[in-house]
Amino acid sequence: MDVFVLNLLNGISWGSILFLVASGLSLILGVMGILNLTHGAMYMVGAFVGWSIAVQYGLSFWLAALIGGLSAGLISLVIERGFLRHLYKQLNEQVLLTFGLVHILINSTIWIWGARSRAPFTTPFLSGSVSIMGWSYPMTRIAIIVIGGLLATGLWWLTNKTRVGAMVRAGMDDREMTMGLGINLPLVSVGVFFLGAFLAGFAGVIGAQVLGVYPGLAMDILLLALVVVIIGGVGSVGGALLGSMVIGIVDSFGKALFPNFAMFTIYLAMVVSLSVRPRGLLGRKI
Amino acid sequence: MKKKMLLTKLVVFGCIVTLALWSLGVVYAEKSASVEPIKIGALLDFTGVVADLGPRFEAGIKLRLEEANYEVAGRPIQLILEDGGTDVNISFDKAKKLIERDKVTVMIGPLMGGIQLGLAPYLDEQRVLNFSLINIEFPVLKERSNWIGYPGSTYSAYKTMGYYAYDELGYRTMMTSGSDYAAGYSYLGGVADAFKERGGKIIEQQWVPLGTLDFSPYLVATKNADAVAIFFASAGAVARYITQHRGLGVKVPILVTDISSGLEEDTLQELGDKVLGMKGVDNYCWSLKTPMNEKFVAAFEAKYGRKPGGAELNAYVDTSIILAGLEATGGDASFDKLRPAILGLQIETPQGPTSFTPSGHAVVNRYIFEVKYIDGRYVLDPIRMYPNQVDPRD
Repeated sequence: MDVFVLNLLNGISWGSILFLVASGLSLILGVMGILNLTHGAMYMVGAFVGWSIAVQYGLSFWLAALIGGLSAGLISLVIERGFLRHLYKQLNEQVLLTFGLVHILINSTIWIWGARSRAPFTTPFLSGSVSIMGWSYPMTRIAIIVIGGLLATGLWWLTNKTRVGAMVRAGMDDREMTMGLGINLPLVSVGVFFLGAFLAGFAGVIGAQVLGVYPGLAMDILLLALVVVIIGGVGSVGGALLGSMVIGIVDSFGKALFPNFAMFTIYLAMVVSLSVRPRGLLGRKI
Repeated sequence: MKKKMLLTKLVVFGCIVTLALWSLGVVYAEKSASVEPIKIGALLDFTGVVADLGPRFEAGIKLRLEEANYEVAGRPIQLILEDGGTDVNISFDKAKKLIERDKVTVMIGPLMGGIQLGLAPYLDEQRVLNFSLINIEFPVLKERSNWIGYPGSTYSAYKTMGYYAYDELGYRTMMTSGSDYAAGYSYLGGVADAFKERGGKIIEQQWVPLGTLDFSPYLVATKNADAVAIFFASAGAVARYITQHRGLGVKVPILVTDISSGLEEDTLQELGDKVLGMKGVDNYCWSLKTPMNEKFVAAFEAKYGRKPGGAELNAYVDTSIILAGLEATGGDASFDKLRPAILGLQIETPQGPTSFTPSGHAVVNRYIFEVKYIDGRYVLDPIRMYPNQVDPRD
């Protein structure tokens, strides 16, 4: 029983990290119709910037998370304004462009910080553990679950209970009608793009408590985020939450119960999900 | 009048002779200056999952070549570096370029075991002498005639930890947790076989997919063994595993293979108390106390501002072996002369004496290290030496 509970908690904490990354990707794809493959690189950039703030300069971990998010958001704004806004509805070109930018961002990161990986880091307040069914469970994972929950609540409130959220949902449903009603949808879209990238960069620092920091994170985390969006559905915060929890828990129990098939369990879950609901569990039509 | 004509003829003749002698001298000087350089290729990885190692290997190679003034046996040396991208297709293209276009006769790398296996038939066919950068897959060494395996094979590399765990730590049960790929099976296979050879029992072997970020399911499944021996290839994986292991309060002690790379200098300081007392095996750490190593560490620090790790040392020694071999052949870099010359070498290196078996497997010392806190820093302190290690299948 204790092993079951631990694996469940591990799955939820892992899923929370994935939610922080995938929620932004899902919103960007849903609102703007942009498949932004630099999203994983934003996670990586946030993580490295956060490492510099928290470890290299010894400042506050929470400040590091904030600045990590802002750095990712600002870089993404440059990418959107400079490149992506010219490629709306051109999916192939978006994929090629953003894939190329991923390599540029990875190599720029290596140029600035070096290729050496950094050990996981956290704030002293979270460096302890709590006892759960006789096991010691790290506070960092509890914090990740709490932060994921708070963020999910905040995003749900933003998209469902605010005027801005109504604009975002309207833009996802019918772009032309929304703009016809006088809503400055391009501005809203840019705001969503910034928010999505901010979340990725913020996730980079929060996730660094467990995953550490290294340049390869850009691709490793992107792949998982894409799987979450496929399963959860595009443009839905609820879908991103559901998808990330499915992946987190399936991955956790898959490795524990079927270690020989550990490489395949999440992709098997993706195949099953697509067979049952091709649009994703809670997805909107793109 | 006659005397004047004779004098004129003598002067003209003298000028012609002088001009002829001078011309011969110029030709000779030009010929000496155009001695063909010895081309050494280095197929390293500056991008991909092991991108952190490429610059480290490069540092070791260049330090050694600079010490030799880029010259050996009267011939200049030209180093040509390429990025294999930790990808077999890219590595193959770059190897072709080094061999067929750049005409290198000696090549350092590739690093990864899977890529070595993939390129082995082509490299063997081209008769280019290849040097491994870390440990080599034994089938490559045994079945191909063009490899020099320094510091040894993946299977033999960390066997001594299996012996140490049983003989000196008194462990009787062990589990292993490692990356699910060729080198992972070899490294931990060697540890497990050595442990079993002494009478120990391997309870379980976990194989973790490359690129795994969250080890918690494997940690929760850790059996109640005396120790868990680990090997992970991915960047930062050892630090992640240890942090997650400590966070979940897993009590089974960790034995780290490849400890000098897995807990390299900066990572060691970052992990701090989490790794205090941890033991592991490797062929090198800067803390080895030999005069030659102290000189090497000082030179490396003076040039690069940091201490050398195992990667830097391996590349440095690979280059030293190449230079020693070329000295022995008088600068003849052809495969048929250089390979036997190298196999006959016995040289001192910063990590100890090195010689070779007929198949090209290096015979080296292996060390057990323990993480200690000395003079305000966490260091890998060598606590046991196993001399002259080879692969038992050789």
